[in-house]
Amino acid sequence: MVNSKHAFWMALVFTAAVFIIGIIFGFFLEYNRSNELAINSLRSEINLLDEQVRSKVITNNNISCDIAKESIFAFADKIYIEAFKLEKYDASNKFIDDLKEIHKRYDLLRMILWDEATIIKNNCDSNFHTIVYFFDYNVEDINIKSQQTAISRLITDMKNKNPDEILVIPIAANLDLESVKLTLRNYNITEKPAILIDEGESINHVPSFTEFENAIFQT
Amino acid sequence: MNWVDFVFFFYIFVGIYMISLFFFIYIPNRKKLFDYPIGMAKPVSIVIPCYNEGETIGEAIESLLNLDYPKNMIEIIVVDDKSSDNSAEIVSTYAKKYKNVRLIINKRNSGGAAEPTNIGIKAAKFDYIAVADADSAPSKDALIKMIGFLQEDEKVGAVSCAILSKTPHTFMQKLQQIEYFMIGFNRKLLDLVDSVYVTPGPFALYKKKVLFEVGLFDINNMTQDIEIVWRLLSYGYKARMCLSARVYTTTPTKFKLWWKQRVRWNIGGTQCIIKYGGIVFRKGMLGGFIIPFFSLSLFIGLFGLGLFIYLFSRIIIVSYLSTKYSLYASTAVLRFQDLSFAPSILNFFGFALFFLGVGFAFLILKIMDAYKLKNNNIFNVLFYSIIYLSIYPTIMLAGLYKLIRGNYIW
Repeated sequence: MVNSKHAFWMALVFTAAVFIIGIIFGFFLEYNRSNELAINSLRSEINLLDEQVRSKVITNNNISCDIAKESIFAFADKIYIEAFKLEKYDASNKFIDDLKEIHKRYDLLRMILWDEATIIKNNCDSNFHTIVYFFDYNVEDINIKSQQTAISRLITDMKNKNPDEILVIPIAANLDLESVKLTLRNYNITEKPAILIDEGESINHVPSFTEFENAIFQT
Repeated sequence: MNWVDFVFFFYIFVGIYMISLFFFIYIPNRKKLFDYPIGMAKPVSIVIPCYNEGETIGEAIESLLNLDYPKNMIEIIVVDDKSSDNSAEIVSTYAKKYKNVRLIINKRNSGGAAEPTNIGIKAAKFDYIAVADADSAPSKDALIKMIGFLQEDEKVGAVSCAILSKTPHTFMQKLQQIEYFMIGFNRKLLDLVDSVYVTPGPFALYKKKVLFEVGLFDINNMTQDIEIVWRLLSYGYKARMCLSARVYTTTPTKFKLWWKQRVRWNIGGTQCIIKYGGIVFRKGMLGGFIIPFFSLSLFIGLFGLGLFIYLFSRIIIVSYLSTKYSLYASTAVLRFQDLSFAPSILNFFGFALFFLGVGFAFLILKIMDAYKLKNNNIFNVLFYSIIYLSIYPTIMLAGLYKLIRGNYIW
């Protein structure tokens, strides 16, 4: 028989090699994902800047509010899809931790988007509603996590039912952004998840669909 | 990365290590696995502990009488542990018919196999002792193939063979048939690194003087066939395994019986860890590999079960609450996007480990050349790999619980 005791060391070296290759692959995979999101967020930022400049043009030249509304809705939808991808990648990333920073960047973009939407509503005699959804990022508490899941589904359903009348702006409230903290204080929001409807009423529980619909369309 | 990720990485590392270890032992020895040293037939006393084995004891004796071995070199000693069935009558019929078959009736029911085995060994005439189960039947060439291992090296005190399942009928038995092929093959690989940790009860061969030197079987251990090997190793002896010798044993037909048997095995294994834990990292492969391997398996199994229960409970509670909230909100309880996910590096490692494990299982079955991979058998192998093995941590938990409470019987 062949003396096989060296198999213990060979297996250890082999496993370590497989692990190192796997970890390098993992870094590469996550780096690519992170890069993709960083580029997306940069493009979104450019879009928003473009939007801001355009809104000035609208103000100055009295161009149709419909175009402004249409473009801001399109932009909100775009970053919603990107945010969904961000969440997926964030849940699966093990090594690269910079997705949190990208998340902050998206949150700031959404804050600016919200501000833009408010300006358009005021300037154009609004015919749409802003739903700002404040949630906790990477929450561990089981009850809050469950509520957030249900509210996220509810808001999506509402948006699907009224695609041209509702602008949904989800914002993570626990990422230590001063602007978000200040906003929460301004609107007296202390508990999350919270839904702020048209910069007025805030809901701190999971509402029924009818209750939510009434809250939006009767404000 | 959180602590759960670290735990998963550790489990995957151990999994890949064990599969690659077996693979690296297998590769250089692949053509010699079924080799055995040619031995000289010497007188052997075969001891069969028996308790309520009326249905199978006759067949067991017949199989031993039919061994391809000189008939005058075999004595069969059946030690009845105060059976309440007709075991003793059946054996006495054989004892009247064959002068090399003897029946000894224990004065009391000891509740285990160790005490009647020890009685049989003390009564044995010959220098080689084979221990056989009353519900097992060795292949005709088993004894002659095994004895050479004891003769080629003075330090070899025991030799075991491949335990295979008698023709399986129930689904549980079919799964055990697969398991026995796996265990037999892997035990042979461990033999190649001097790490045989058990000489299973169905059929094993020992040197009598060595058994007396180490003090015979431990009557307080639930798996005396594991304990005896650990004791032999701690005395500096070796145990070997002959893959080409086979013994066919009766396996539990139902889940409940299987569970009871496996819990007993786990209690015995844990008793051995406790008894020999003090010599970890000493005494050659016993302290260097076998004890750490058993201990790590126990820890990994129990910790993994705890972690699984924790994570699964969280998922269940979150699903329940979010469903409750969603129903209240009259919104969908599940969306397509809830199901989509981006695979992490852990997922890739997990898939790789799973396919390596299943691939290794199929390779073993092919090498053992006794398992036809028809469609339903492929299902059985997958069921074995995914479900059957997953039950083991709960068996470990049940075994540990019974051991702590002192509530265990054979």
